[in-house]
Amino acid sequence: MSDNDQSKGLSADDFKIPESSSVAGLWKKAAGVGVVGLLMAGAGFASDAERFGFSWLMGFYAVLTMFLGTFFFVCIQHLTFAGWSVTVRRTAEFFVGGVIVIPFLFLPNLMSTSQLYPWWDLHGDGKAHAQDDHGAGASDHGGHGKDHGDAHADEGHAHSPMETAAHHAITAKKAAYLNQGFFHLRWVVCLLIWLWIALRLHRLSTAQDANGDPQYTVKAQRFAPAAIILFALSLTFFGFDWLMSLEPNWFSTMFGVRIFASSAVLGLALIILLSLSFKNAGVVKNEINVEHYHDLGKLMFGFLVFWAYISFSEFFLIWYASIPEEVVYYHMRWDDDSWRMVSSAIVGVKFIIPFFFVMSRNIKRRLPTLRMGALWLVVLHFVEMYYWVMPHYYNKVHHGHLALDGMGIVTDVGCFMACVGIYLAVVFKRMLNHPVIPVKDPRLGRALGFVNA
Amino acid sequence: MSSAADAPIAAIGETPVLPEHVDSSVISEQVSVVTETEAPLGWWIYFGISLIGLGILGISVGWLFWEGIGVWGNNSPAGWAWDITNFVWWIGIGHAGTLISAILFLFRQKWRTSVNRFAEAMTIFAVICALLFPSIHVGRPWHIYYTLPLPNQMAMWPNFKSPLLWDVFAVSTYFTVSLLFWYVGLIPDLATLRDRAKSLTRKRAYGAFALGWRGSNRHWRNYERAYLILAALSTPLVLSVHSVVSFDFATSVMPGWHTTIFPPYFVAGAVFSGFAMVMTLMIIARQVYDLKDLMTMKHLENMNKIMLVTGSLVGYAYAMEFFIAWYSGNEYERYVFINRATGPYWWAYWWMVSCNVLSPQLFWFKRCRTSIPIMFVISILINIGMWFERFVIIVTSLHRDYLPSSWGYFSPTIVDIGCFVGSLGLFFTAFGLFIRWLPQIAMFEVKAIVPGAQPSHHGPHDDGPAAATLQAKEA
Amino acid sequence: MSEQRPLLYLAEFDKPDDVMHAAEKCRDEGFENWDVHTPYPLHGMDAAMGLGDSKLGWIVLACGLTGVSLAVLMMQWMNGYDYPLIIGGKPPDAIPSMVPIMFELTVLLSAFGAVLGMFALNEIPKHHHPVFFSDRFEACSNDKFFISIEAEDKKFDLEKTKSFLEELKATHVELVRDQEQEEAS
Repeated sequence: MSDNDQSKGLSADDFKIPESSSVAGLWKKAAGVGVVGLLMAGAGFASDAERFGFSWLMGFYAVLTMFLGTFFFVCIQHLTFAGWSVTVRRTAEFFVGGVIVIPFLFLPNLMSTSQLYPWWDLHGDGKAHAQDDHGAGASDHGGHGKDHGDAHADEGHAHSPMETAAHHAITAKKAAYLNQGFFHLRWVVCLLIWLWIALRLHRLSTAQDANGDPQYTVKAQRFAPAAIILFALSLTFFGFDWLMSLEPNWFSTMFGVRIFASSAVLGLALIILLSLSFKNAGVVKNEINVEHYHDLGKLMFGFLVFWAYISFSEFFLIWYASIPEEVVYYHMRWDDDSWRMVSSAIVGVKFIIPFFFVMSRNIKRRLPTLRMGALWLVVLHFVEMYYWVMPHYYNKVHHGHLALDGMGIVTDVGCFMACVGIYLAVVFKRMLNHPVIPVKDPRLGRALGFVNA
Repeated sequence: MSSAADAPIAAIGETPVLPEHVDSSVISEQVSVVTETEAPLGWWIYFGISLIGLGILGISVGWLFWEGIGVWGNNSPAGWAWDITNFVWWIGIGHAGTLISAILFLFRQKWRTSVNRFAEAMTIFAVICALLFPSIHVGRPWHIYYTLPLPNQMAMWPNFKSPLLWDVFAVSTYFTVSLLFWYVGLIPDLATLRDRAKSLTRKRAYGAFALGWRGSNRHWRNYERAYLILAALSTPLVLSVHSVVSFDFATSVMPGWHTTIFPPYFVAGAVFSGFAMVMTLMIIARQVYDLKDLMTMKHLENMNKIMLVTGSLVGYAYAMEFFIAWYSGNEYERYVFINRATGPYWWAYWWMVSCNVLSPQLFWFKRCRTSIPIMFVISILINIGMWFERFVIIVTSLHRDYLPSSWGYFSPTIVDIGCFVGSLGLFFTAFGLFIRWLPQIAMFEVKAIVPGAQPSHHGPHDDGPAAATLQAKEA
Repeated sequence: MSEQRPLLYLAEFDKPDDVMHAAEKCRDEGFENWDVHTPYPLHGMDAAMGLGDSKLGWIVLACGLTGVSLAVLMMQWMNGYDYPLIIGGKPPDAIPSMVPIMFELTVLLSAFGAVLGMFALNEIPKHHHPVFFSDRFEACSNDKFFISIEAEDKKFDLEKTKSFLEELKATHVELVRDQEQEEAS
């Protein structure tokens, strides 16, 4: 079995996933899910293109947060010169390497911008384009929900022209930022940043497998500060553009931090799950052991608390001050009975239950229970994606009320399956090219002998 | 952890935390001797100046109580000014101590051991200074018990929806937990001082607080767990305390105060300013007591890196505030931020930005990170800049009311200045006493990270580290 | 004057490796009333001594739950029931604004639980312990490592235990007797 002294002698071939291994075929399963998802999403698109737009954005964000969370983990290990995590860093790097498929998954979003964003067709003077000032919806409601909660029983209600004008007047003040040209420029820049920083860190690590040149580590450590700054800014502004401006009147300085916190929890859960399947398949043995899982579990727990802190603070300040432009966001999510269920589920099932579950040292050190906790958080993350995006859709078509019909479910689930399936297929396929631990990392010995104090 | 794998790897730029000749007895000697010998002249000069500051505090606060809050420059609309600025500033400084002792502990940053005791002591004294300001700001300090959960003469309970009441709970919890954490950390070191003591008085004094510590491994087991739990509790606590402080502002509908990023932004700022204060003190103590072996350049460099990180986080928050103020489309929000940068307090705003965001950028360069004079100057600049940050937030938002007819301007009086300078005196006096009588470096923690201090194997070693045995035990 | 009652053997070690091996031997030998004394915690010593997991976590959890319940009861009763206060248009018993104090009291009571629980489990403060009768033991808080085997242990034997300890690379073995007398052997 592994001993500290043996770290020098590890060879890349010993840790490549053998074809006979159960994880070698994972990518096929993921691709299958992706293809089925694409078919379902296609059917959804044919039946209701508007809903498809929102659903796909949600599926895309599920994948994007997977990438962002795991990228953050890799980056922070380089920033802190961490030794304990070397053996699991590669697992995170597999997810990071999946970045190459993100631009493709992103493209369908561009078809829906005029339906997603109420500001899309607004001119700088606050007047809408001729044909439609509310976006295309089943009913005639504007994108804002100040009194939708009370109004959803009352089908005929429509906003007065003055209300709509006031709504647009605020949006119009943002035209210097929320306009089509600048918007396109920003997403191009963000995608390029992600491709660059992710592939560079991925390559520096995998290239080291061949000869163990410590210069790769030095380069990664030098690159990490710049990468993390670019990461923070791109994550924030991409989030402002694609999520916050779904309701253009709403704003929150905390929004970028919330996206980050949510991604970080997800990233750690994914690392735990994938590295556990390596272990269960026998690709690694004691190189990734209970000590590493315990630490990953602690980090996951810590970030779960951080996420709760960020989400609560944001909600709390808006709830307490109750300023109309701000409170509209939570009004959509808490004042409607159906959405209140989803929101409460996120509080109770994504935070309180896992908090008590993952808190225990024994649960983190027992691999099946840790896996359960991680899986739980991944599933609930997807629910949170629903909570981030879909209220804005229902606000347009059902007075904010969450009304699921068969086709709607097919579209939502299909978009999730398509985005997540395709991304994972790429991740799982590409991971066959590399050993599952960085066999020549100079700090590998520290990870092998690592014990939780 | 095995010392072989743990050794610094030169090829990737790692250097040892401590110089080679340092071992357990050197550590005991270097740290304990400070408390056992006559204080050097430098300490007396320092302590004398601090006592003058403490005197100024006594006079200022006495005058304030005698005359009332009117002797401060506070006015309408600027009902909060230097008092709350000082409160937030001091609380923030305290946070670095908890960060170093708790968060860096959870992240296994071994270099923290040389600075954590120091920083924890700083936390406690800073929180005492912080508690002073709201207490004297209430104007009638003999009614301070209104903040406790007791019914008043109308059988009415305190309003638990008031952020100021949350402050009372948060800050007093913070003080208590920090004190516990600090004391628990001191116990094994107090035992060292007890065992080294030559006189019976000294032996009894340190011995009483050492609680009969005998280094028993059965004790270490619970002790380490208690330390871990306290660290795990202090981490969210430190976040919550400054978040609650930020709620004092952010729950309002005041432009410039009501913004959702305030909680983490205040926390980052707090850590930032606290680190700057630790740096300032450490550089002085290191020179005066010649502790260069234990507080090495590597420690200072790491601290500087953290200041760079937190300074950048603060910069991120400034940028978000400014951007969202514009993006909100709200004319009051937009006005407040333009007014901060170009209005009557423009100088305070630009002090804040240049000290907090620009000056730490020098730490991108290794030459600046490792130069004592540069880091000393920057650490003081950050202290100043963070004080101005709170001043900018509080006073620039208040001095322009919604009604232009109530606009005003705040200027400090001599008593404002006296209270602030006096609180510095209180802080430095307490700190001087700490340095003189208590081990200023956590000896047992530094001993534990010296190369060769840990056994080179862990229990049964046939199946990797101790993990296997633990796993087996649980199965 | 007859010799005082023997209390324990104290074996002194210079190196962490030596004391670790010795501890494993003591564990395997089946001693129960014995202990290792070190100037700082040694990683892996718990396993070497065969100690289980610390129970402190449970104490802290209980204290924390008490704290949060106390906070909820206090605020709900005072502001929601006994003298309802409507502030800022919020219901008197609104939960979100109670979260800060719920959290603070949880932490406060947990911290007390951690510290006092640790004191209780360790049975400190306790200023009288036989190891303090030894002068050499003062080095334990500096840089030396010790193993103590108490006379109360079932396997304790004046002769055998001594030779057992001497075989373990101890640099010095000493029998500590009751009172302030001590005998170097």
